[in-house]
Amino acid sequence: MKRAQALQELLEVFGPRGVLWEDHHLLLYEYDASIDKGRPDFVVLPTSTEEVVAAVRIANRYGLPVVVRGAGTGLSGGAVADQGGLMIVTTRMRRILEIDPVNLRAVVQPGVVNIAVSQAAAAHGLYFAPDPSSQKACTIGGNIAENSGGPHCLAYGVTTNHVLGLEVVLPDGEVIEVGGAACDWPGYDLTGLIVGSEGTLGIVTKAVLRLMPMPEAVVTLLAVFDTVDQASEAVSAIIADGTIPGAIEMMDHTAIQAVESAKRCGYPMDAGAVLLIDVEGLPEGLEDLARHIARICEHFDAREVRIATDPAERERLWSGRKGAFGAMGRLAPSYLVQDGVVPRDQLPRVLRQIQEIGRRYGLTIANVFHAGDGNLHPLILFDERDPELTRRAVEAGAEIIRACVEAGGTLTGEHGIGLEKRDLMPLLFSPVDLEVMARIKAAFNPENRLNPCKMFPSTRMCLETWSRRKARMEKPIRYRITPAPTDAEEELWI
Amino acid sequence: MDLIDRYRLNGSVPRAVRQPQTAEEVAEALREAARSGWAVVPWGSGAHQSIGYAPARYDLALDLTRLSRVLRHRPANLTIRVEAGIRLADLNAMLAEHDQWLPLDPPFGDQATIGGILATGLSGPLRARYGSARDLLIGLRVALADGTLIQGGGEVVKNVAGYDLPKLFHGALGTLGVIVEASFKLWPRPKAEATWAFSFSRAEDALPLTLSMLRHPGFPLAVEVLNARAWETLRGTLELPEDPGARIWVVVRAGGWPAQVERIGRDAVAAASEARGKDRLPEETASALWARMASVAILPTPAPTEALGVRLGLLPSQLTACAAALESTEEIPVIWRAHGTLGLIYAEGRGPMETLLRWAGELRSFTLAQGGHFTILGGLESAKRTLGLWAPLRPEVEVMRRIKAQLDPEGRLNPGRLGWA
Repeated sequence: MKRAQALQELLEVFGPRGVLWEDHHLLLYEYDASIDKGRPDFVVLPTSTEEVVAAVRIANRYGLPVVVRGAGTGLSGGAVADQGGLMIVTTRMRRILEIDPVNLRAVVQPGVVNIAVSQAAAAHGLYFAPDPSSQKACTIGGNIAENSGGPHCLAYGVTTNHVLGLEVVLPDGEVIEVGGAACDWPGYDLTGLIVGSEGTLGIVTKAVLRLMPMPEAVVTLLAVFDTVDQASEAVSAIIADGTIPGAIEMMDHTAIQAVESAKRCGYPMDAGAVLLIDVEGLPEGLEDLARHIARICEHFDAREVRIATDPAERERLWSGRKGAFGAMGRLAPSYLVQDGVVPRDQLPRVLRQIQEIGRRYGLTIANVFHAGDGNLHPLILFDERDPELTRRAVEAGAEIIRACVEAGGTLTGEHGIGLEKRDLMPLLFSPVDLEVMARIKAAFNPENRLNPCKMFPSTRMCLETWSRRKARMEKPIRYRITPAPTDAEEELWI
Repeated sequence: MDLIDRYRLNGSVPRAVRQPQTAEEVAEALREAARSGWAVVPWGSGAHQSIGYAPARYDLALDLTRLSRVLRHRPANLTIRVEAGIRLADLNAMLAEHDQWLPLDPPFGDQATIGGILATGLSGPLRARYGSARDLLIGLRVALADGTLIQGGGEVVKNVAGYDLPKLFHGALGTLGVIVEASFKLWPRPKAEATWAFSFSRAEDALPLTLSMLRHPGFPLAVEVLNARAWETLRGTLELPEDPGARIWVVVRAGGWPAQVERIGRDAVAAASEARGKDRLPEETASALWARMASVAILPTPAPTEALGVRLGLLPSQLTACAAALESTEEIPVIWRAHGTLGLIYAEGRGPMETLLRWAGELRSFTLAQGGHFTILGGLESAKRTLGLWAPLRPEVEVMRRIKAQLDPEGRLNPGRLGWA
C-alpha cells in the first residue's frame, strides 16, 4: 500500500494535474535522447521551489530515488529513471524572473527553455551565449546539470562560464543559495561544482545567468575540402595562428550526403569535408579577419571558400549543421552519437582512427562536430531493431572513446556521463579520483537518493540497493483514484 | 636569515620546511605529515599568505616553488600543463615566444606562482576580457591531506567527465588539497593594444563609461576605476596625466586587431561625455601602468599594523553608491580600485585600528544591504577576528564544511583559514 500512500501525498501537494502515475503517462517520461530507458513510479510537475521541496520530502519518506528531468533532450541518459522512483519534471518552472540589462544578468527558473532567455534579452541587445543544438527545446536546468556546450562555446565558454549563482534544493529538502549576481562569492565554489554534476548533488530551482552583448556583425565562411585530413589540418592551423573564431564546425562526406538529401543548404555533394566558421564581433576589420581565415583554409587545399555576410545566406549555411542529427534518418534508422574531445592538434589522427574503427565494425560513421574545440560527434549509424548491429554500434562507440582518451582527450565534452558512459569512467579516472568524487557526492547526497547510479561506474551495491527498494514497492496502480481532468493529455505533451 | 623565518606567518614559524621537487615528493611529505599529525601550510611565493585567517596550527611549510616545470605546451591546441610552483611571469615570458599568453594579472603578479593564484582565486584587471583563473583552468593534479594524488579535468578545452574538481580547488585557500599541477586554456596575444585614461569629478559621471564598456561587443581587456588617492599613488612613480580636480579615474585597455582597438577607444571617449580629461596613454606608460595596476589597494604580506584591506562584491551599477560609502569617513585616507565591469572593489584604509574597524564595519553593512559580499583581504589577525573574515555566512557553509570533512577529515591542511575549515 506504500505506493498508494505515496501517491495520495503527492496528489495532496500537486493536485491531479501535477502528478502522473499511470503507465500510459509514465511511458512518456521513460526516455531521453539517448538509448537507455527506465520508467519512474511517479512524475510530478512542480511550479515553485516549495513544491520541489515538498516532492523531495515525500520521496524521502517513502525511500524513493529522485530523478530530475527538463525537456528530456539529454544525450547520456542523465534524466532516465532507470531505478524507478520519483521524477521531478521542471517544465512548469518556466518563468524568467528578471532580466537586468544594465548588469547583464538574468534570473530564471530551471524549466525555462535555453533560447527563451536569449529571446527575452534580445530587446536589450543581449543574449545567453551557450547554444546547444537543442536550444529550442532544452531547458536551462538541463544545461546546468550537464554543463552543456554548443557551437559558439569556442569563443565564449560553456554553461559553467555563464552561471553566477544558483538556488538549490538539497536531497534532505533544505534550500541553499550558492554564488549570486555578484562575482566571486567567498568560500568554496559550490556553483562551479554543481554545474555539470548531472543532478547528483542537488536540484537547481533558480539560476542567475550572465548575459552577453550580441555581436554587431557576423561573417560565415564555408570552406570545402576534398578530404577530412585537409579540413582538420586547417582547423589546427587556425587555432595555432591565434585567431579564435566564434565557431568552427566540421561535417564529413557522410554527414554532407545526409544533410543535402534532407535539405538543400548548398554543401557540395562530392566534398570530403566542409568547415563552417563564424567570425563575429565588431564590424571593424571583420572581413579582413574572414579573408585571413579563408587564406589559411586555402593553404590547406580548400577547393572553395564561400564568405557569407547576408543573414539569409548565413542562415542557409548553418541550417544544414543545425539539422544534421535529424538528417541522419535518411541514412539509417538509428544512430549512436559519441562526444569525446581531443586536443585540437590530434584531430587529423583521431578522425582517421574513427574511420578505421567504422570499417572494422562494418558500420558507417558520420562526423558532425565542434572542430574548433576538438569536440567530436561521431554518429554511428545502425538499426536499433537488430541486436547484433546495436551491440556492434555500442562497442565501436566505446572504442572511439578509448581512442580519444589515448590521444590525451576526454570521454565527453558536453553530453555528460549519465548512464551511457558511466562504465567508461575508469578509462580516464583512477580509483582514487573516483573515490574523491564519491566523497564530494556524499557531502551533498549522503544517501545517494538523487539520481542514483549515474555518472560513476555501476557498482553492484548501488544497483542492488535500489532493486531491493523496487521490490518493496507494489505493482503500479492501474486505476484512477481521482477523476482526471479532460485536458490533461494536452498538458503532457508540452 | 634563517630559512625557517621566510615562512613566518602571523608571528609563528613552522617546525619544519619541505621543498619537494616532484609531485611524488609532495605526496611523500604529506604522508609524513599525516603520520605525525602535522598541520600543513602549502607555500608558493608567499605573496598572499595573509589572506584568510592565520592557520590555527602550523607545523610544516610545504614550499612548492621547486615544482616549476612546464610539463606540456601544445601551441596548436592553445593549452599548457605546468607544475604549481612556476611563476606566472616566467610562464608568460616563455609563452610570449609563441604569441600566446595565460591572461592572468593578479595582485603582485610578478612574484605570484600558479598554485598560489589558483588557491587564492585572486584576479586582476584582465578578467574583464578573459575571465578569472577559474575560467581558464581546465585540469588539476592535487595531493590530498593523506598524500593521495588525484586529478580532475584534463588537457582539453571542453570536458564534462566527472565533477568539475578544478572549480572546487580554485579559491579554496589550500584547505582541501595541495595543487601540484594545473592545465590551462591559453589565448593568443592581442595583435594591438591601447589604453585611455579618463578623469571625472564625480563617480556617477564615470558610470556611463563603465557600463557601456560592460556591454561593448568588442570586449575591452580591462576597465579599472580608481579614486583620486589611488591614482596619485601611481602617479608618484609613473608619468601619468594629472588632474587635481578629479575624484575618479577610469582606465580602459583595449586589445585586438588595430581597427577594433580604435573602435573601442572611440566608443569609450564618446561614453565618457562627462569626463574632465581624456588621454590616450603612450605605449610605454600604459604597459608600466598595467604592470602596477593589479596591486593598487591590495595590502602586501605581512600587512602593516595600522592598515586594513577589504574586498567588496557588488554589481557594476552599484559602483556610485559604493564610492560614497568607501569614502564616507574623513578620518581615514582610503585608496580604492574597482574592476568597473565586474563590480569587484578593493579598498585599503590606513589609520588607528579602532577607526578602521568602524569604517570596515560600515562598509560591510552597506555591502550586505546591497545584496553583495564582503571580505577582509589583508590586515591584522585581531581585525579579522573582530569583524569576521567574510559575510554573509549563508547556510551553504554547512555544505562547505562537509566537503572539507570529506577531503581532509583530520583538518590538517591550512586549518582554520576560512574560520570553519
